[in-house]
Amino acid sequence: MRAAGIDIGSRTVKLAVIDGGELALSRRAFTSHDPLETARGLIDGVEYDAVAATGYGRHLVKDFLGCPAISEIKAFALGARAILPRCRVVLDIGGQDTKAISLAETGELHKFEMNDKCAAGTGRFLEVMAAALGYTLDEFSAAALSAGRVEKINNMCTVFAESEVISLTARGAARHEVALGIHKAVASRSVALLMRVALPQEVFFAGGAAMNGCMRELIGREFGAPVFVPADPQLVGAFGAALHAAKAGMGQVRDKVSAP
Amino acid sequence: VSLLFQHPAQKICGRIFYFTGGFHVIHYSLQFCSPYTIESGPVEADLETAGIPVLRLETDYSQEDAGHIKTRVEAFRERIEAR
Repeated sequence: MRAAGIDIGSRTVKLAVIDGGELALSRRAFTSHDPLETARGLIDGVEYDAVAATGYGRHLVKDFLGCPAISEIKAFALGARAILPRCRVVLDIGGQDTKAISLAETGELHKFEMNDKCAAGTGRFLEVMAAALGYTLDEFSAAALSAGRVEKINNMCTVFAESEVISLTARGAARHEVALGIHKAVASRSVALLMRVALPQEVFFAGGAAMNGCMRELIGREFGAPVFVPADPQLVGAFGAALHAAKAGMGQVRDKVSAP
Repeated sequence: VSLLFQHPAQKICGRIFYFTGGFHVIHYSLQFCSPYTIESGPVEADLETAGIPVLRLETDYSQEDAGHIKTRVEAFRERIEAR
């Protein structure tokens, strides 16, 4: 069975197609002002037997495709568990959400915590701060890693923090030290969420921010535990949705076969 | 134990058991309402220990976090359904 999962995030839309539990195809695009159109563009021409949606736009796609929708929390739990069967703690830092999830030994969702309503301390925050310092995302992470000392950032609100960064640079602060301060602020906020769901232990780190080397390093250090990052951290939610679709699709097939 | 010597959170848990018969609980507190917010921690711990899933929400009357809350409530329902 070929199953597809589509994850409509706040910044990017991801599509994963699995065949017999293995990833067969993946695509991604920026969400834009019209997430449904972006999702349609991604799924166009893709063959699948079952599909499921997750992410912020899950209900939009659910109504359009007539498919099941699951929360990102469940999708990340399913995806993480399939990639790393021993994992008990999942951290997802996406475009506007940070989620810390703990799983039971059997893989069921145990507890989860999410950031509050605003996008403070998430991927979008990192993007805006990188732009304020004139870095690309790759340069931003590398610069922070190279800093010997840290310029502390007190504000977590994206708008206020940008003003703070501007005042720091205007005072002549080194921008790579400011970059490290920003990374530290996001890391400590994420670790506070992790602490609310689990004791320090190996973390499965997913979402776009897991591609940032400095974030990986700081999360591991502050949580006091090893960090596991999958090959494609952005795709974990879509992969989890595809796994759910495969399971739900199997149920439908079984119902058809057993029907009198 | 006499009710007199119970911590307020224990009293609340007792009442929750009484009214729900032990299902699942969404603990909602109004933002910046410290008495309820502070108490939600022990209430959650006690109920979870007794095997009752708890979702803690803290929000105000505005609509801007509706998307976040929807995600949390849906995930909470998925957690209950998986049991």
